[in-house]
Amino acid sequence: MNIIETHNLTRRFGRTEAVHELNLAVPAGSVFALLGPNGAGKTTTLKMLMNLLTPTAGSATVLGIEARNLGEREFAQIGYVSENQQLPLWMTVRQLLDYCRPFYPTWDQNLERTLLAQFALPTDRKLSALSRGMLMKAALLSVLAYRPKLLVLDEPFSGLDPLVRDEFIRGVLEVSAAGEWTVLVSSHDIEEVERLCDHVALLDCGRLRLSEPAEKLQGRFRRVEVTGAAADAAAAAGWLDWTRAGALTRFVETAYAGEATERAWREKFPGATVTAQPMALREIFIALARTERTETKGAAA
Amino acid sequence: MNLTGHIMLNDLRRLRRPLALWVALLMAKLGLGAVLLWGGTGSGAWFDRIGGAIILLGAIEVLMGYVLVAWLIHGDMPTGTTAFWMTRPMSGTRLLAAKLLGLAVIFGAAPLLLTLPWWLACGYGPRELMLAAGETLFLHGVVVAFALPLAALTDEFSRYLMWTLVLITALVGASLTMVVVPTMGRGASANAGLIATRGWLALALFLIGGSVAAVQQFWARRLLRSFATLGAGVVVALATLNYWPVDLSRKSSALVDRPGRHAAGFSLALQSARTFEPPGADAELTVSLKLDGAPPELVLNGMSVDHQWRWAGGAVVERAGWWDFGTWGNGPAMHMLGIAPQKPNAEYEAYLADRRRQRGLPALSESERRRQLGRSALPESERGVRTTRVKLPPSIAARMRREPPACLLRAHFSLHRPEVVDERPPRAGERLARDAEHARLARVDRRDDRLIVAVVEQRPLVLGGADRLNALNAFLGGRRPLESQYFLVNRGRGNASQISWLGWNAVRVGTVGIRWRTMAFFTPRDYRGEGNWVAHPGWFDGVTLAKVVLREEERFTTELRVERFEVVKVAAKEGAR
Repeated sequence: MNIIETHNLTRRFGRTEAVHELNLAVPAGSVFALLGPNGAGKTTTLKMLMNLLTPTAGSATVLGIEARNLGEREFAQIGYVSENQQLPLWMTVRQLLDYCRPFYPTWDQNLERTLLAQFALPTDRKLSALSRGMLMKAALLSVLAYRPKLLVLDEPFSGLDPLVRDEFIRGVLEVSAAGEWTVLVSSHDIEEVERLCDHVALLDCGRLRLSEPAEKLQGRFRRVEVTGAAADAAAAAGWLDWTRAGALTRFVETAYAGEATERAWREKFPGATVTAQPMALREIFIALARTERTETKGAAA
Repeated sequence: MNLTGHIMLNDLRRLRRPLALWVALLMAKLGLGAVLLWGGTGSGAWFDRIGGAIILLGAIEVLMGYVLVAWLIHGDMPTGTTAFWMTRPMSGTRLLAAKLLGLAVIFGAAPLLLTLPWWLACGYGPRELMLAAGETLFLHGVVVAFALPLAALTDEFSRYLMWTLVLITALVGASLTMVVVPTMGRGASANAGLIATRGWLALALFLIGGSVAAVQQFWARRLLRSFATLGAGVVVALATLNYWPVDLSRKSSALVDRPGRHAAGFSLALQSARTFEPPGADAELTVSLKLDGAPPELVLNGMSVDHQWRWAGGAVVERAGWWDFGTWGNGPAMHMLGIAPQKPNAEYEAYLADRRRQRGLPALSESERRRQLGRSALPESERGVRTTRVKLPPSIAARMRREPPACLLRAHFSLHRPEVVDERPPRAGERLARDAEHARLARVDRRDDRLIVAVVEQRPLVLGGADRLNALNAFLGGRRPLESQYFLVNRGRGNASQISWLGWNAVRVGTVGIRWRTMAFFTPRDYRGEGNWVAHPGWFDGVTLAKVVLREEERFTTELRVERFEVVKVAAKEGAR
């Protein structure tokens, strides 16, 4: 079952197309990372999902409801934290929690106390006097305490120092591990998200490049180095980022399937030494992005 | 407590400091009003200073109200995509309800609760309380109705101010270019009722358009559509202001006839009609009429008079004229106080006439003589003669003289019964009071043959003024006095001193009108021949100050038809007769 589904979701700002016919499915209980460089359309997508922006075309359902019709009942089950979100800065942390609590029938005061202690938030300090990291933690606390079915985090790590990032991620991981929560997090910081997510989607220039479980993605990508003879062989379909320097040939295999793939390499490069290394998400996305740029330039030329 | 109330209370907590200032502002105004009414024996200048401060506080109240609306709305703005509430379990409808509730508390409950003790202290009864509460809510409501749409359609205070300026400029500019400039030099192209209809309709449409835009923005958060709605409201309001064709105004209840038993016996008769026609200017027609049937114990008030002249060929000219008299006659009030009117002094009359003859001056004019002797002292044949005047183009006046037209004259009158509100010795600190009307004697100074008295008067002045008050109270079944008069009475000697006003200042605090009036009373004098008058010795001992109000009893229209309206041209402008 999918908590979020989009069908050809599109949003234009004047002549600029921020999101192009996006088809996305976020499975229930997953930690889903929406990744992409700045300007990829991640925030616009999340805003359409949260009914903050109206799609130009297409549709989206969240918790089984058309996103345009999200109301009080649905938002009582959704937690949204964004770097752009305005918080009531005149309140203290305690006042923020007191203000939010009555809106959520599922508010868990024990969890609230636990998270307060875990995040080490000063309850009597005004939000305006908190650092950016503290502020994000306060915002996160105000959405975690009611155990939302869906937690949406839009660039939550921007501007946070490593220690705070770590605490933040640990907080999200702990609560998501504790229940049947779905987390949708958007970020351009792939390394941070890698620890967190079990599903990934890559957006670039408003288009979805891929969307699949992280384990599967990392399983099918390999960085391959070929040393020695038969270096004249041409790149095959599914190979990205093909380079050759002297006797050394490098490429990224996008359909690694264990022994079968390795046998195919040996046939392609007889007598050569072939080594394959697993790739981090960051490397996979760089390879994908580089290939995309090259193809775009080629098409333009 | 439900969530709407929770949001509203949160707003009030957020705005606690501005709201404390708002409350302080309201209380400061009432406090200054209390100082005027009950404290101090100052002077006219003192009254002016405090009155000025009250007016300034009133202006600040309006501005602060306008700012408060924006602060309240912008706390959870319905524009943009970053507001905190938008991803919380708060619908636009609930938020709007919470904001309206907050506005009702700030601009409704708070002013009413704060002003209630003031009204009660000023002696307001249920009727005045109801009207005063209505006016307070209306005035604050207008500020809110103007501010709410712009606050709902902007995301920060600077934009709110900018759009306010844009809207004011657009409204004023469009009104000037569409309405004022085209009618300049052409005279009024529409009657007063039509202009009032257009004005009220335009205001209502503008406010409706603005309210719809605000509600729409909270519900759907489509900024462009909301601005379009507001813009449509402005355009429709301006078009209405310029082009609305139908006069929907009802005759003010202050002008609706309520004839009583005296109206039936009242009559008019034409005595004379004269024109003064200065070269290069409009002619002034003076029509003298004999008014019969007004009872001596009531004050007759000439409200207005409509003239219509019709010539044989069908030409018709209509003009509104004005009377030379109002409610300032003292005779009935003196009658009410049991004081006989002052008799004419034939010896002094003869002396004055002789002096004027010696200097080659014409005999004393009627108006001068009437001023000196008092209206009720006129010879029987001249009593009840009043004049009405009207301006006419010279060509019409000339035609009137050449071809006397038929004339229809509709005269509107009201009759008032004087009532003694209170009568007290003229001492500082004394109060003359009845119901919600009070007069405190702030200062009393005796100087030779005169007594100078400064009073601070308090009266309900709901919805702008005495006339409207009369109309509203008439609507509600009551009657209010039109104006008050003061008399210094010496019961022992059976006479009274007439008032001479030295000045007055006025200010309005929370629907209570406060006036500082300074008046002088002169000792009655006896004529000793050769133009010499001698004041009554010791007359001020044992006098009392009486306050008399005029309560309206009847309002009626009397018609006069004249088949042949003959006009005489006079060489010089005449005094009132």
